[in-house]
Amino acid sequence: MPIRLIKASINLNVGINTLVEFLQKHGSNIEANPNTKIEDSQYDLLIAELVRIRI
Amino acid sequence: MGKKKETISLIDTFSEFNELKNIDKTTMISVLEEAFRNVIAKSTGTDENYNIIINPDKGDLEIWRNRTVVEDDQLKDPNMEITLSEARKIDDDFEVGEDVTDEVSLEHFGRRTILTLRQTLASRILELEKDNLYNKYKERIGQIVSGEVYQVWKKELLMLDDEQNELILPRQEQIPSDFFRKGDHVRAVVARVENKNNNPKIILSRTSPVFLERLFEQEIPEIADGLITIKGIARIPGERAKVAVEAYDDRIDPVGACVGMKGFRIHGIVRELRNENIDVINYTANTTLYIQRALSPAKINSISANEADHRAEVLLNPDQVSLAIGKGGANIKLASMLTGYNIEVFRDIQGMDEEDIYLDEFRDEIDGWVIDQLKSIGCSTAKNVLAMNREDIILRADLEEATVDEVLAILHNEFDEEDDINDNDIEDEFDDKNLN
Repeated sequence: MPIRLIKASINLNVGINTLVEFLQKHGSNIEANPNTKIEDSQYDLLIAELVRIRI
Repeated sequence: MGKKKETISLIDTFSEFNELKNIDKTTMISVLEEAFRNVIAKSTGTDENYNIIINPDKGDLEIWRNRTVVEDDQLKDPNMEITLSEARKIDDDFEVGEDVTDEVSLEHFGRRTILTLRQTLASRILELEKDNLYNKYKERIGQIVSGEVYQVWKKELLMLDDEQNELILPRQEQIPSDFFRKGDHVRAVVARVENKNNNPKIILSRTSPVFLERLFEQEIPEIADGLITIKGIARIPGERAKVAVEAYDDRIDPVGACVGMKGFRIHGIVRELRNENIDVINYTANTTLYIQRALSPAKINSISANEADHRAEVLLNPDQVSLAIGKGGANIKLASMLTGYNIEVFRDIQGMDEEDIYLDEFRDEIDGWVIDQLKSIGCSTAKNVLAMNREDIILRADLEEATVDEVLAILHNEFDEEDDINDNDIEDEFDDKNLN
């Protein structure tokens, strides 16, 4: 289920600009708008990246 | 580009805060968030529908406002709600009940709000710093700290530690002969930390027995390692101290280890404490032996200790009494403090011949050089001389016969007189009894 970018941002406590920057680097063409919807696969990508950084 | 610059500086600022003020990230985040929420609540009436994202690792600082989508004709609070048609303008798949988010930039707040924000943050950080300071020194109570004298007042001394925290060394916590000037480096132990009106006040002490204990730990590795334990400390700051030590390893001489070669180890401590005379004694669980050792350097004849009252009576030879009491009663006071016993000192006169008289007391009748000559053969009292053979004295003391005879006559005469007096005393007593 697609979720809005702001939800992801709040859940992960990472700024929207940072999230968008990361997703754009990984080939997703999304705009820096909190109301943009992202796919589950993209959200998983974000989580994986966060886990990688934390470890 | 401008956005990027801001982000980098934020990361720097966060880590700077972390290092300089020693405030951890989570506290910092919560403080920041709280400050922002305060400001938002003040300007819009509520902060419920705002999300503040602060991520110091990434340097993110974003504020978002959420508004619930409502039907076009049901808009009540434009800050909390947005009409469906408005929402569709932003993104055309919005439905009623969803949240629409838009960014709140810092510029949006205006100058006055930012100033308040700054002030709130500053005061919160100051508070946190004070808390940190209090907790830091609370944990260090009983530890030695070193500081630089910043200002000297009559009643106390203001010192700064290496992080410029203010430490206070009151006059009564200084050794009487302590004299410090601005810029001196002073070591002291943290005695207590007071927190008045959220203003931490760190009080140091150089007179506390704990200070002496810490110095011992620093100077003597066996104590730091736990091979030797300090069982008791009694101190008269700047004057004298007694330390009871015990070693669990028989191969270690605790007193020797503490004092060191030629007093090398203890010398540093003595100097730090302004020539405080430190006696190190062996601890023992045997009370009488402990009291005896505590009273050293005086040699005692016997002790009767009363365990229940914690009192001890000590008998000593008359010449040891002054040693046992010490200058200004210091020795006996310290021994009492160390052992916890109330020690009383008595002259032991049974062991000595009461009637004996030092030869020096005859200086008005006998020439000084004759007395010196007699002393040189080991006779320091009248009884000593009388106990010797006349010929022996003549031979060994290298004196003329006439002189020796004269001396003997004087001494005999002295004792005869005393006997008479004693006899009279006894007769008087008899008379008294008869009368009664």
